[in-house]
Amino acid sequence: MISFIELKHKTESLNSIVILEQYLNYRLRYFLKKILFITSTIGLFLLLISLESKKIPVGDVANFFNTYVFQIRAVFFLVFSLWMIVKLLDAFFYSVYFDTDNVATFELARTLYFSNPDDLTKSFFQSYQGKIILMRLGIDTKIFGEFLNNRRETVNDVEFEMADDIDGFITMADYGLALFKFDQELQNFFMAQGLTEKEFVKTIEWVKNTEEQKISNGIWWTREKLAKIPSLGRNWSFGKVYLLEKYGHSIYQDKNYKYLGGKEIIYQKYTGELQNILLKSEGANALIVANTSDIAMNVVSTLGRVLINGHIHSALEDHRIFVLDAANLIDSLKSKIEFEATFREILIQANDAGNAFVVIPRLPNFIDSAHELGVDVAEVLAEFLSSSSIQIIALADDRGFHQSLETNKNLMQHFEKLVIKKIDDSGALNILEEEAVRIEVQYDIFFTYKALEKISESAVRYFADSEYSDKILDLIEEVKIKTLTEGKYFVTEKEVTEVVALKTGVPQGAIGEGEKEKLSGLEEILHQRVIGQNLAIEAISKAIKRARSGIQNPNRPIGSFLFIGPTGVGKTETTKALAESFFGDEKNIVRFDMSEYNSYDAVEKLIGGTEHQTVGTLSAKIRENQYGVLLLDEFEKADKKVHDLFLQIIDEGKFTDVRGEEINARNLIIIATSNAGSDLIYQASVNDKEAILEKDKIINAIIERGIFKPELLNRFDGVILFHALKDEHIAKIAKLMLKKLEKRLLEKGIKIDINETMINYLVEVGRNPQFGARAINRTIQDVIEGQIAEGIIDGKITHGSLVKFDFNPQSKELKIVV
Amino acid sequence: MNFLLIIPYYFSWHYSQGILDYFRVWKNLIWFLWNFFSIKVLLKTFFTPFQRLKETYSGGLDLENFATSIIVTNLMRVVGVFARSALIIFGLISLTIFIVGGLLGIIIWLVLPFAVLWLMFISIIALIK
Repeated sequence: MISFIELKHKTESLNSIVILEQYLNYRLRYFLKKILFITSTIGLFLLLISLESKKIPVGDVANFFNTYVFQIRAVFFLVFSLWMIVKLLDAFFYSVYFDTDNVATFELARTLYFSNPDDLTKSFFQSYQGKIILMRLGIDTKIFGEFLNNRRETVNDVEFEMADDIDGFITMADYGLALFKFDQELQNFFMAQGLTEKEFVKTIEWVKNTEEQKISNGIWWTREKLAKIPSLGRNWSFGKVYLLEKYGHSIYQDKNYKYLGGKEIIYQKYTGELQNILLKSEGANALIVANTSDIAMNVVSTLGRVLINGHIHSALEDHRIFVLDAANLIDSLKSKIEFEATFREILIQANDAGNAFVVIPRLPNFIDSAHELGVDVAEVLAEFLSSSSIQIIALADDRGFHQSLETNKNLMQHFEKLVIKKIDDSGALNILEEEAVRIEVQYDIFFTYKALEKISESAVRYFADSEYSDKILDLIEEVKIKTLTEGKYFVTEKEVTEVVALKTGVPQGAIGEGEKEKLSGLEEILHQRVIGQNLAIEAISKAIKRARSGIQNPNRPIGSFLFIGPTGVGKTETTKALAESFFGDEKNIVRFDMSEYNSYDAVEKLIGGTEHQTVGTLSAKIRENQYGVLLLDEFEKADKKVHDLFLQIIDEGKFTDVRGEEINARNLIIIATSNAGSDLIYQASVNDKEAILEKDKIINAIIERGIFKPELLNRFDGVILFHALKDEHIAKIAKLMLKKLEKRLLEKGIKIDINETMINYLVEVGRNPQFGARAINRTIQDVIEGQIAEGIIDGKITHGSLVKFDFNPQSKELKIVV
Repeated sequence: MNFLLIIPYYFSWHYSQGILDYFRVWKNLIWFLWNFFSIKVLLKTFFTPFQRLKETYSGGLDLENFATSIIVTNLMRVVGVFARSALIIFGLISLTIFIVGGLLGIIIWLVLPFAVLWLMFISIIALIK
């Protein structure tokens, strides 16, 4: 452990520039340099004129210069010497700031230098970076001020200590974390603000990196900066690659390179291997396989960085890296002949140039798209792959590689494979951090860390089908536009959730007032459509509230339920009501009749077949409707393998289709319905028992009959029992349905008298355990609507008629009375 | 005034780390010039045809084609040699000037703080008078 005094001692070597910054900070120096440079240039000009004043034809001007020649000189030398002083102080600042002997960062030194020994926490947040950190955390300064004033205890320099296990520089993040761990009240405050320790540390790192980046922008004399100046005559010895410039770009213009930032450390070890592959005497082509092609591209970008810094193997130092824009190539060239000729010409030019590395991102996709045009990319490539003057760096993600490259022996023999182990690219948020700062420079908005975190999270959860970096950049762009159009300054989690909710239709983030009402009254809302089934509705409402409060497991579907009960007791109606209340529209249901999936090839039908490369119905439909209710009717009739498939989907919230593509099911509410065991449920109601009380018995019977495996039943968030309907429920349903009919008839100007006779008749029909409420619907259609229709056609019923129905005891049917 | 505390810090830097930094920057700039004029590449590819422009000879008994190919390729070689020689010479001259200048520069660096202060001092005196 090290004490505060020891820590402060470690930063002492930076105190000189801490003092310099206190009186003459680098922004001020920047402006002084500009002003002094301009004035000394003017001074120099005047000085030169004064030296030649005798030659000036205009007498007055000549006199002026003659009289003031000494003053002009004096002013020039004064301004010039001041300019030099600022320049030297600048050099001094940068030298100390970036001194490799430092054990701590400048910002930490500055914070410690000005710290009040009696209250380290307050000093931390009142430091130059502390204030920015607070804003990035999205904490209201007023609320924080109140917290500071109302603390019971403060952390002082005597009691504070931090772990002495930091490799490299000690930064503000290390000190901030130590303070956080030490200060229980600060921890409680952050927790109340919804901030975690990790978010706090990451925010400090972001602020630190941004500041360091700004300062390093002032330096031009490092090798890295100098190397970026294009050299003369280098291309004289190598051919031009016009077409590659048209249908591609240099690695240094690539989006991925732009956002590489500090991530190069992760990929550096792979660039060594990549160089070894590229150094081979001939056929030195690399295929980089990673879990995403973004990651594969990061390796190439890192190679670009190594190349520009001159740290590359000498045999490769004159090379240029070009990235082929395959999508652009395919979009602009529509015909097979044109495409094939252009692609070949691109490779010929690159080959003749003699120093080109041609990067083909997402090679499997490129092969597929070209295949649609009838072009065999592999064949064209093969002509060049054994040449020693062109080198191809192809990229593929794991999936694409296994699917279309691995088996292509002809193509693979020309490539040496470089497999990137599954990388936890924790630098992924860096892309957003850099982009946010870039946006802030251009527009008057300010991002909080939570907003970036939410963008990253949402990108993974809701937009699973494109590359991660594309998704997050699209999302931050949309958030930016929304914030600007609404005239806001702070971009918080709320602004992001609004954009995501708008894009997906899935309610997000903090629960709004209107929604709060809706959620707390969810049971009543569901009851407006579903009659009876109190316990079932209660169980579902609870599960939905849990999902909406954000405490559910994000790696599973929003909810998953198995509805068990006889036909026509409200299972489908509940599903519709749920879709309406949760996703805003009852049409947000993807329905599968699972009785169609009971053959041996059922799984193949659902996720696609290998043999004929068919697309699975389930994969296709979920891909189209990622947000909604997935209704699996008559689930018990599906093949056992289908049950196993859904066991996995419910468990992991995703599945892989036949093409190896991952399909995201985490934004669905999965509802499986079944009338397994409905005989028992009906029996219970005949014996006047609450079926729900017999739930265990019924479920056990279902397992014993081998309808569902216990592990499948356990995966569902809830197995919900729908009891058989009682007369009072059937009567209510009948009334509800007749009301609907009444409304439809009124639109045609026909009135109907809904009376007890009709309802009693319908109750009698609806008591049928085989059909339940569905029978009522059918009877209304066949008997009631049928007779009305006949009446309309016969002309007996016209606009303004009042229709009545009576029970005919002889035929035991309802008869119309107009 | 606290600000004056910087002066001893500055002077100790100027004559220790400052000198090392001076050489480091000097070295970087020499490397830059060497790189900027592509001297190594130009020497390595001294006889390569200019921008690799050439007529490709497809083989066979086509004498005219064969002759054109040889002439064009060698012409481009000559163009390349001239252009490269010019740039290499220019680059080497710049490098020499810079290296010599840098050595003189170190003397300036050593007297710079005093020179600047002296300059400031005399200009203030001149203005007051």
